[in-house]
Amino acid sequence: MNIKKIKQAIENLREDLDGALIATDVYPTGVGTSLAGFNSNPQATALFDRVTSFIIKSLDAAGFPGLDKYYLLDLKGNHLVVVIFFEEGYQQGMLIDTTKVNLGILLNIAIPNVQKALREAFKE
Amino acid sequence: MGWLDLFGTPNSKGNKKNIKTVNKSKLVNKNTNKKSTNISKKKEENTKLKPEDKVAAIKEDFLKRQKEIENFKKKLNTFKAENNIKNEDDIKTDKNSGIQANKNKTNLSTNVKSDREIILKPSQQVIKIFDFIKNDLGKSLVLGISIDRQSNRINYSTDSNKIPQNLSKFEETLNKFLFEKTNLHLSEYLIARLKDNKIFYFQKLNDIDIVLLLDNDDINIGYILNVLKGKIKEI
Repeated sequence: MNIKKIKQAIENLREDLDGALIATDVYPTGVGTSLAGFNSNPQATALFDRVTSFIIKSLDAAGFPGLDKYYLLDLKGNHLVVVIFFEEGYQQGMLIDTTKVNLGILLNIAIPNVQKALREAFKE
Repeated sequence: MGWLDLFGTPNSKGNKKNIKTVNKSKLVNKNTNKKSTNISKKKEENTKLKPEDKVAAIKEDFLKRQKEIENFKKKLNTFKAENNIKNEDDIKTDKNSGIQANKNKTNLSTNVKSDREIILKPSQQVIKIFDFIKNDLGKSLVLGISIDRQSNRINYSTDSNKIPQNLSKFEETLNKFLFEKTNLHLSEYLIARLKDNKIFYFQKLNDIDIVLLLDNDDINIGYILNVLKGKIKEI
């Protein structure tokens, strides 16, 4: 894993989202402690690791296909949580201000860019 | 655990057995009715009952209750067969309501009907929502369910053979996680990209939650969040 590349990926994500990124953390699945982040929030990191685990279990118990790529959680107060799920054993949680970015930029530019950059960083 | 198959074939042997038992108990009861008249006559003659009469009265009471139980079993089996209920929780609820009906001496069929409404009968709003969703999404809809938030029960599924009961408490558990740790609350939806090119979509409405499993080949997340979500809310 290349931590410099992870930090660079976060910086690029901030630029893509143009002020809409409130906080983000990259953390290993099942551990819930941050490897790198912006406005890091240890409680939120632990929580969303647990939420991901809950979603995975719920999908499995329902007989649905497994979690792949990401999930979006719409919160009160114009906030959106995005959790990107990497099969390499990592996750990235983001808190987004939905008044400052549209869904198209988030789904079609920011998420694919950071996914690609982090995959490369995890490989090294 | 995979799909919970709630719609198995009802046991016809079991029903036949119950019908026989009821007929037998009816015959026994005809006799006890005669005994009952005799006993009441004797009561008129002697205000104080003899030990033999007391035994007869107890027997009469016993047979009467046995008949009530048989009738209850028969009605419960009919209800289960009509609704193809296999789920143990549902059966327990029905039994409880039946016991309550006996205690209150109310009509059992009324209680069964209200249970059926709570467990299985979707509201007009749910029917309208799914009429719209099925029409709008067509083949993109793999599965759709509705959850009554008050009872935490699934009250509609687009596929009667697939009722993922574990999802009935999805919103409650998720909100518990969020609120406990961060004081956050789920607002309207959760959407997830799944393997096999599928999408999981959860939408919270006033009294119900809608869960959809969609095929991402024909539909994209932008349409779901910008168009579908709003249309569902309007219904």
